[in-house]
Amino acid sequence: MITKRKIRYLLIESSAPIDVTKRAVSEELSRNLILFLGELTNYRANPHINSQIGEKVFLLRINRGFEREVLAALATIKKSGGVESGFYTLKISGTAKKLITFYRRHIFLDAGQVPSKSRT
Amino acid sequence: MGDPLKYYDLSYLSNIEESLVTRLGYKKIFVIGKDVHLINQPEPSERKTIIRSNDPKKIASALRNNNTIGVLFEDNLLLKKAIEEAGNNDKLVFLSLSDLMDKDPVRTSRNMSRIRTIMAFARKFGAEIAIATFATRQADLTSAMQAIALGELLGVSIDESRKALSAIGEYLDN
Repeated sequence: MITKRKIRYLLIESSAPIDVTKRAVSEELSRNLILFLGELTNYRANPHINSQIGEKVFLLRINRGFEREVLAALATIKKSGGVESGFYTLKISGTAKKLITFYRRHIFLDAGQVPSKSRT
Repeated sequence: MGDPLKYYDLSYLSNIEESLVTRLGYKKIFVIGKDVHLINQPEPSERKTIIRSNDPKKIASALRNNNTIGVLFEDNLLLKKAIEEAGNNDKLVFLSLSDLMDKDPVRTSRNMSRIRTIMAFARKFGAEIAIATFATRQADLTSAMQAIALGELLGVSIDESRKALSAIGEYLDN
């Protein structure tokens, strides 16, 4: 029997440019999350970096039901890769596609760039 | 269905981009030192002020001034009389989210329990709570969603937390 995955995606913007594809950066972020959440809640929430979609924007995947704890934990992280940076959670959704569409319509345009006309 | 709540924040930063304020979910981020002033003792002035002190007499005296909109406790030390005074005068009890973002986890957890206690007494005496980041740098800012989540973790319901984030607007957004 295939059980449905219950997941939430968080659209996160950093105050400074960040490259979450680098192992050192993603490990530091994980360590900081464990520091606030504790090992047990971190295991239950299971936060994972999903993808980087902009210079300062990335998606974080967590288990449903732990949004409040992870939001609060991200608010307390003030450093990444040796650089002072805050993490702002802009939106939560059940699908990554909705967040990417939101990013292209709102954040991308704010940066003064024009999104391509291809379908998302 | 009524209007959705509008959220506000207080920070020391004066050059935050409008687009960032919107993305974070706030209607406006008020600037300390420009829209509102933090004072250590009561003063007769025309400007909007927040009293920041641990002296109950100074706080009580300042809260009687119409232009003082609320009180922020230094080191989050509980002063029951001051909270009761704030409740009687319809003033806000401010809680700083920056105190929850300390590098030292011992200080952070101590601040958390103190803030929880202040919240409980504010509820008991009918004083309205206002939460704000009091950010001194861009990294200290949080989105409205995160501020509400932090409020919830400190022991208030989601509705109370949302109300606490929009309370400042009644006093400053005219």
